Amino acid sequence: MYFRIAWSSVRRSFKDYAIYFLTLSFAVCLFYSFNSLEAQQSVLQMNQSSADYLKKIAGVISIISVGVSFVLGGLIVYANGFLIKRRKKELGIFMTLGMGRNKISFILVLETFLIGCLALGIGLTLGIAVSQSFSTLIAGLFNAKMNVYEFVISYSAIAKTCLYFGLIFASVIVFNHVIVSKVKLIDLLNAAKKNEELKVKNAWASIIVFLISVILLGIAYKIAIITGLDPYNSIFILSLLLGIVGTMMLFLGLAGFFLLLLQRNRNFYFKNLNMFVLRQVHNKINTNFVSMTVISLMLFVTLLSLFVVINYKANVDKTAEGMAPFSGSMVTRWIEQGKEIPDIEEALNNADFRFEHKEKHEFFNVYTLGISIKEMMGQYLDENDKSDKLLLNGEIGVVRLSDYNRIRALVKEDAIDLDDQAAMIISNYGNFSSNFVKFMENLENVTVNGESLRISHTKPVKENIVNAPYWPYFFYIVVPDRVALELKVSFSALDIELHGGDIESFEERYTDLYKQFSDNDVEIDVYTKEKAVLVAYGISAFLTFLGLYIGLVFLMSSAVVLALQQLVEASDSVHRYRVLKKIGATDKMINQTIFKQTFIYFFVPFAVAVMHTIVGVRIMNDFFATHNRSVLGSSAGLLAVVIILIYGGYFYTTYSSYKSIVRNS
Amino acid sequence: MEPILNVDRIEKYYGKKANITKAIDNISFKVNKGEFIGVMGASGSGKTTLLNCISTIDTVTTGHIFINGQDITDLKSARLEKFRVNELGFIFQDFNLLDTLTAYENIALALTIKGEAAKRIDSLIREVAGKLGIAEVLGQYPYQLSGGQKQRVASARAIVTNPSLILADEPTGALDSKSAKLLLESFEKLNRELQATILMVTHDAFTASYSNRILFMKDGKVFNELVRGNDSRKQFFGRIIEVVSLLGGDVSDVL
Repeated sequence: MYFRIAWSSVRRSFKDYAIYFLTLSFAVCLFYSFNSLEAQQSVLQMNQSSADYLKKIAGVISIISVGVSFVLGGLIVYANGFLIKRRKKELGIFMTLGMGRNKISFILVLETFLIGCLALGIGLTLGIAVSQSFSTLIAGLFNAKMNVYEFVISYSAIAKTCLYFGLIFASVIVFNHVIVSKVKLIDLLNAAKKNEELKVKNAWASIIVFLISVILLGIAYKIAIITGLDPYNSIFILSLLLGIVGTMMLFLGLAGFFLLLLQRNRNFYFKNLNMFVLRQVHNKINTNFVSMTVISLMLFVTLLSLFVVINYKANVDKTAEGMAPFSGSMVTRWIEQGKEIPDIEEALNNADFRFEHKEKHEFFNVYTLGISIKEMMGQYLDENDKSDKLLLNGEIGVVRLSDYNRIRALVKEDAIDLDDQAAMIISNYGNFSSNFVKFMENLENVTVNGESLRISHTKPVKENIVNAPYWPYFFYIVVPDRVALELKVSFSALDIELHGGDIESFEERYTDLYKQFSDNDVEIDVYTKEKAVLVAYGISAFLTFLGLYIGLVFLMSSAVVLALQQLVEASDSVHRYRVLKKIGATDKMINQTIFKQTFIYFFVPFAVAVMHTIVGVRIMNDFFATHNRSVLGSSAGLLAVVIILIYGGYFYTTYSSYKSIVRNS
Repeated sequence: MEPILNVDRIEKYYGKKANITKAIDNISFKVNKGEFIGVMGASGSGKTTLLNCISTIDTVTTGHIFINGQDITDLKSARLEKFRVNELGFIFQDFNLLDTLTAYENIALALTIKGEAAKRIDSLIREVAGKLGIAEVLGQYPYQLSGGQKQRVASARAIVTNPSLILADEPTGALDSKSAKLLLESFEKLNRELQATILMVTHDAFTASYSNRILFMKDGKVFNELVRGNDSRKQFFGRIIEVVSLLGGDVSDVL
């Protein structure tokens, strides 16, 4: 019987549940899709560096997911509270009919359970469908081939989604149970008439809460700036927690603090309907401080991820230039110890490939120093750097000066003069790691083949010696020819520069050549500039897509929640506006009041988020070591406009609907 | 002396040609400064329509209403709003206090809407609160006040702007008899000491007995008028009851 009541009320109040339900399903879908990212790798044929990259992204997403689940949990508990509020009268009727609290609570548990199961089912189905297109997308962005098509279901992601959402629904159930067991029948029946009660009643208490929150936030900012972005550091996690608690206390105390402050200013307080506005906002922020906190943190994540992604994209775009300096390159693949490195010239002859006369080319070898960058940099590395295994564990490549000057001549660069005891570093790793910049500043000598060479340039040359397609970072040492005579060859390479030919036919010819190599199992990779740049842009495009997606969804959902709250507020306050009208307030005054109120309500969480973002961007800048770049570039400006348009649009729509609700009453 | 309120042959029709209801059917009366006038009548007698027309909430079909010499029937909406704020004070049956504001702020709101200077507000509120005996509860919210206190706060809000005319619509309708008595006594006091002009609509004979003069309405017309003169309130009450019984059920109605 109870099941039937629960089920029928789920169906009957579908109109009320629709937004709630859609939000839930969408949340589940998103959560699953992003957490299943790593599983998508199985259908893709990607090289190790791309796979590492994807793994890194998946790792970041799984860390973000914890935060996201708190956000979603908060949202769901809030939306549920909103629904319960609207159904209080119905619950009251159940009670007058003699149904006990426990049974009512049980019905609510059943309802939540049913809705949760439905949302999980639909959300997961959607998520699995959406994530199939993810693999195609990733394949495109990473320029990876798809293996035989396979339907990917990530069981770990499903388990994770079920666990997280299970916990969220459990907290909703606890929340509902507390509400039902606390209320009195009279309150349920009079629910429509009752005001939300104030959490902080004592004005001085709110001042103390406000001051504590300011101190907490200050400490959180300070700690986070000192430790930097380091998810493995418990002190960093502590600063995040302090930040969350601080934000919550800020919203708890903020309204009371400003109310008291502005009440002292009689000229402001006793002007037009200012005191009414302040009281309304004060009540609303006070009762909704939890959701205000969640919204503000959500906006913070939105702003931060959008700005960081844009900033990062700008960086990748920048490195992409130096990454592929030639029209085309060929590089022998990594060969097991003891095996023969394939001869590129021979392979070209076998393939019956002839260079055209406009294609200038140079063959050269890269030798191995025998130690890795990790060993060389030693104590300069920190935890974050250590995750870049591919670059850091690889042996350092050595290039002869004469070879280097020959390939420079290809792209019409001047020859470099190195004296007999000097060496030069070629690397763009400094774009990524600030530790590398520090390391380079302190590097005076480098030992090659037992001989100590002076470093001629403290700033490394950021132009690569071959087109690097997947991994955007490289590290080589250029040495006088005699020093490298006895070193072992690491790989052979060929650089080609097209001087005034047709790029399209060039691309076509070399793509065909690569295909021929692959088909005949020749261990040589061919990278044209177009392909290399495409891949590099692909990675940044992927990140941009990710950031924009999460960011905009967050932005919209927080705006939607704010809008929802304001409209609930509007229908709750209709009688107040009627009174204002009766005692002589003009329409203009009332519209201004509504405008101010809605504006403050949208502006405050945004302002707090901006404050957090300023600190966050600074920390992220340190993390990506991009001190030399300003995040406020042209694309950041455009992004700000988009954010303001979306958020402002929601604000204006809310203002208009609020007005019409009041007018039509 | 120029009357505060001069209602001159007003009519108010509802509906279209074929089916016209005359809510007010040719009413004229005058109220002088310092008068406490009651309007009595059963439901549907047109007393609320009359009040709405005087309070500029509704417009008349024909006729004129002069308040303080100003014809409010041909004022445009912007000036009408200003007129309402400056010349009229309202007291409602259900108090209409804002639950988010303290008693003090509720009273202050009437002044801020009028555009009163901030520095004068405090003294004006203290003065009127003293007269209505609510000085002690000014810091409290409406939910902390009793019904009688709420209505006296609402009254304070109505008179603090010093309006020419106070319009009270069933002010005792939501009060218990003791609170009603206290409120009406404060009305009497305001009327006597401040020369406040009050027009009170009620269907309750006891409430009406506090006024100086009573208009009885029936079917949109003024049916009778009683002046208290030198009667005691008890005697006046008795006369009201007589009229009410006449109003309520005519022998002719039974037939």
